[in-house]
Amino acid sequence: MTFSTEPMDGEVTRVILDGRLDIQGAAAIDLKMNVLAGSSKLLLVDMTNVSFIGSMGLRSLVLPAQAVKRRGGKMVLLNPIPMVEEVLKASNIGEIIPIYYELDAAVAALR
Amino acid sequence: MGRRTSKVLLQRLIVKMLGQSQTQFKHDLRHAATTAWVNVNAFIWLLECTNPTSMAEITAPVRARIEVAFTNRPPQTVPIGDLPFFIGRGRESGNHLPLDDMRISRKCIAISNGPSGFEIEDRGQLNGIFVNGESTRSKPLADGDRIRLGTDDGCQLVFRLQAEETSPETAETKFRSLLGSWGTNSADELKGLRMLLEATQLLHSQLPLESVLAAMLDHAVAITNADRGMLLEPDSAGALQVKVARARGGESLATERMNPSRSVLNRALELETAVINEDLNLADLNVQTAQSVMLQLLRSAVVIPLYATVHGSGEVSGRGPRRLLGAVYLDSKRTATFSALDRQILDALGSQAASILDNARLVERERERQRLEQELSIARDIQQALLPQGLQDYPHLAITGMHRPCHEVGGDYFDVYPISDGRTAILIADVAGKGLGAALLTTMLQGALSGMTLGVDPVRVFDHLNRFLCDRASVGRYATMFFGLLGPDGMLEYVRASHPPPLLLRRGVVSDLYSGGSFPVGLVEVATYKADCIQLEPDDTLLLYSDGVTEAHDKEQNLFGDERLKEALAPHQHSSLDELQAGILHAVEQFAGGASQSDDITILVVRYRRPHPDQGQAANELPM
Repeated sequence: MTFSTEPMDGEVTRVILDGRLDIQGAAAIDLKMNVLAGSSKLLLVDMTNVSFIGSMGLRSLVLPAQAVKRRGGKMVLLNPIPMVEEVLKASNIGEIIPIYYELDAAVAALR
Repeated sequence: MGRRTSKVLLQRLIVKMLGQSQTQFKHDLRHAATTAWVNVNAFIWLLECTNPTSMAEITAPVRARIEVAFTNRPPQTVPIGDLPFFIGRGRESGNHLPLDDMRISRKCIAISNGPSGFEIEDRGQLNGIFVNGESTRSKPLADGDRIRLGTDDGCQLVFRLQAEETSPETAETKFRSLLGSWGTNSADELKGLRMLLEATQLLHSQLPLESVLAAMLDHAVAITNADRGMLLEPDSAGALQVKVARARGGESLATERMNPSRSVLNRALELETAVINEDLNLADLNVQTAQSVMLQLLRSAVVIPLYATVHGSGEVSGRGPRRLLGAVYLDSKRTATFSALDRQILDALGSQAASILDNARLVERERERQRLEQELSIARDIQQALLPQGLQDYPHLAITGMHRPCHEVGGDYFDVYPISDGRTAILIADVAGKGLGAALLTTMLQGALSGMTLGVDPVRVFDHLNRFLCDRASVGRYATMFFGLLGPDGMLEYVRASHPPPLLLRRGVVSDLYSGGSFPVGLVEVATYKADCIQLEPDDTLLLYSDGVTEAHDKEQNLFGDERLKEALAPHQHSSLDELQAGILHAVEQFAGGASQSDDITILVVRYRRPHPDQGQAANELPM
């Protein structure tokens, strides 16, 4: 699991995840996501290259989303593959973290 | 016999051995072996460990056996005689241990003598062999290893290893050959031997290992005539720290007040050999150390770096970096204390101290491992005992279930219990993550949910559990759950928390009990839960499962998946529940083809049945 960020216009931070978000993957990004959620208000998490998400991986997305929300910010997910989307929807996470399939729409939702 | 007596006896024995008649020696050794508390085997083992040259020639004799356990037959224990030892179906293929079971291949496994002891090898068992749950082709065996043949649970083998009680004759032979390789009667070697002897006694007593190391230092101080001795070991960052410090005469010193010369230490580590510094050069030292050296008037020091002995065919592989275990640091207020020290003595001292340190730490790690293993096994026993015992059928439903953790303890559980209003609670839960952490949470969930026996609204219980876990976010776990209440009238009220939908088998057709998402318990603070209802017909069968079933994978990482599970369930409308469960498990195992699984597998099967006519009202309402 690799994790990288790039700043975008309008104080949006784009987080690019790449790999399997299983127990090890979750452990690899948890701390970084928490730090980011404490410093940035608008998070766009690019899920394009996440090939698997497990239960601990789900938690790695929900906790920062809740933290950002408490600080008056917002987090959205971009372009999960069908398997990942299925897991997100089965746990109602789509209701907490909106999912978008176009970058423009995702950025617009954050602004 | 007391320890003191046996120690004296052994010391006398060694002194005698260096120049006595064979018969007298034999007699004494027998006496020691049979009457003293000292285990001659263990003693020889330590000598071998500290004297690596002899290890190749002498290996401790061991007796190994195989325990065979079939689920439906009495267990048997078979000694491993000739090597290689063949196990398989029937005797025709030259099997030493024939197992009469169609699931076992004719040529199944061989146990042979490898470079590091007994080794198991797959000779062509269908679906491979598994040692402690891990698929393997060949592997060294350790005591207690569990061997599974193929993917079926029908038969399990346990490998047992036991050091043989050495008879006095063989002990004598070994002892003498060891002594031979130690050289002739010299005072220094006698000291070394005696030092080892005491260390052995200490190792086999229940004394803390630190006192073994302290005793070792006392000997080092005595041999070199130093004033103080310290044992240093690397900390997690690799910096050497004083672990034990002793003054001449066997007095303990506070380790935090020790201030060994770092420059001498570094030089010894750099040269990878013992370094004697006759006059500590203050210019080499930093101000703080220099002060301490001056205050204590320390003038000379010896540092012996300790390296692990390389076992196995070290000469072939060439010289890699040696593993540093620590260092012995000896110092003295007198100059020239160490000038007369023979380098050979220092080297011998270093190798003995290294072996003792290495052994002591090995023993420590082994004790720790055993302790953890024991605790895990207690956890496993408790978890298994908390599952409903002997699932009994209720008047209005038949039920069966199983839980197979992929580790010692699992994060899944299921439960079935009656509620005070006459309905039956059926639940399955899967805690995120694995192992002990997840297992702890299953226990807590079970406690909370079993409270409903007394009748509480399940939605309120789910809400409460969710808040409870979200308030304690650092627990770091959440769970998916399905909780159902089945009444005698076939009405199933259920609450779901992101658990995969149970499959409903009705008149040979399989469908999901529900679709769409729901929140798990303990992940999202704002989550809410609701109850839904469905009317079951007689002979409707519900299959509740954890995602370990649908996420079981084959060697190419393909998932078993929902569709295969539905296909496996469909033919079982008229099967007994045990047949149904076995059929599902078989389909999963057949698919996995022996690939080791990474998640718990839990299945609970419930069949609603027409209540008996004499069971009152509910039955009368049913169309006849």
